[in-house]
Amino acid sequence: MGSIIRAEWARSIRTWRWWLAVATALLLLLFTAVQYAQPWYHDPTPRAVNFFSVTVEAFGAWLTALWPVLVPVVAALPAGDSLAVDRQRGLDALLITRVGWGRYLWGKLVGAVLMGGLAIAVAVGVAEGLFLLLFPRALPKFLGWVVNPALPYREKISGFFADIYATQFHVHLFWGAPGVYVVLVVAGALASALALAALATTSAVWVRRPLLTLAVPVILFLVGDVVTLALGNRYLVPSVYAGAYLSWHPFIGPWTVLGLYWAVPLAASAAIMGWIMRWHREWPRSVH
Amino acid sequence: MTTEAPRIILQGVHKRYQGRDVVHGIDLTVAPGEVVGLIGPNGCGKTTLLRIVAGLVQPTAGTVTVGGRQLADLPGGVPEGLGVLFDPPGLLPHLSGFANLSMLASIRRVMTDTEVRAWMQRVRLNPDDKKRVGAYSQGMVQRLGIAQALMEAPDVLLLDEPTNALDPDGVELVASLIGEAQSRGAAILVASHYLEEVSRVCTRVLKIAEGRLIGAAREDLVRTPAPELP
Repeated sequence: MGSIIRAEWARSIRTWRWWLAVATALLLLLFTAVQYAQPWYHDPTPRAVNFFSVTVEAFGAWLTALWPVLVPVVAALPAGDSLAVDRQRGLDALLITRVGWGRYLWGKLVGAVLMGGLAIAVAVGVAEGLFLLLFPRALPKFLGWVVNPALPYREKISGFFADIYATQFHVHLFWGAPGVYVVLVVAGALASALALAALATTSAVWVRRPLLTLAVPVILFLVGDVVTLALGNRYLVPSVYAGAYLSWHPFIGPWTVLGLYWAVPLAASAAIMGWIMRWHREWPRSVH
Repeated sequence: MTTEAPRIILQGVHKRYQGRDVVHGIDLTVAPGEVVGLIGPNGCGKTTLLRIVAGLVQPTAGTVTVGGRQLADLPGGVPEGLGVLFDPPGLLPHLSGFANLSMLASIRRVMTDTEVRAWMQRVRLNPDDKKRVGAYSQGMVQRLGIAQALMEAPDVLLLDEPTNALDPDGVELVASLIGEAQSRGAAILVASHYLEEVSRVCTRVLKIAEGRLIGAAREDLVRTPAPELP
């Protein structure tokens, strides 16, 4: 399995699709942070001054509505790319005949999810660096926007990934337990991203074109949002809030979140893997 | 050719797919040191048969035994000590030729980098060439594919259209490499459209049509166009 993960590493970071995932995540983080940083929208928040926490805590910013579409894209792009490109190029045959079906499939799943996670981590790291570099400085206006409203933060910047348990007014308002809130939100976002990455990887079994593999998790995610809205939530439900819903809606929340964002993709991935391994040991439609 | 037990045994192998019989009740044995050619037109089941032997496609009925073990009993579902070449050859376009072979060699760990370099030179490619495989000609990609299939001295070799896109020198090279594998006792199955190329390296040539083996191929049964030049 290790050799397949190494092969995944050698392949992924050299594909433009992996870097597109990084760029997508980076854009998402920048949009959200700039929106959040507008002083007329939110008061500067004491101690919440690293990029990661700013983004995670950008509660209510309308641009976070991009999360439902972009998070699955970020997670699924490198993951779906993995199997689909192997199949397209015939690399799957060379690897399977060297390691067997089981180690290939598990190695691919783990490797693809790791590379999807790495894309998000690289984007967060770059965004954090940009934040530390740019936000304390006075910058010219861009399209009429003040892009450096974070000047009040200058004295409060506490460094890389500082204090994600920062006190938040809305956190106290709703839950009074900021640490648990942030952990739940981060865990929710990661869990749904990884679940979607797994689903994209396994759905690539049927699709030899990497970009088409995106359709499955994106559709699932959008369906999840529509269902959540229909069930009475007042916000469009992105993955970043997934953890929060666990405590918000005692009944609907857990079912919606677990069912649509985590359990369904993971169960679907496991079913696909099990189906291949136990009953078929071959790709569907692989006549040639 | 040796008198050892067959290394590949197919018994009543059948593959039905979407209501169509792609491979139809094939019985075939390949002994160590034997080179069996499968010849037939596109879509006749040659590639599917090779993929069944490789464990990449599960037969609907029948048994496949490779190296004395039935594929269905193997935990990974594929035989050990297998070298394969399919179309496309499965190489990563953004890595150099050496990096591709090195990555594949690192899985079984039976070869050193020096041996990988030697194999590149054997197929007339420069191991120090930093050019990405995506910038290779089709003939170069094919030679690299041949190298990855043969470099780990497999006991069973499955080659699907090994002379695709090769010039006459490349065809000669493939013939000599197949002969070398044969002389060290590998059991070899070669599928091709071209009877001329296959017959000169094979100990037996069988014709396959609509998924059925119909016996030894005859020149007059198969159209043999000239090999494509790159």
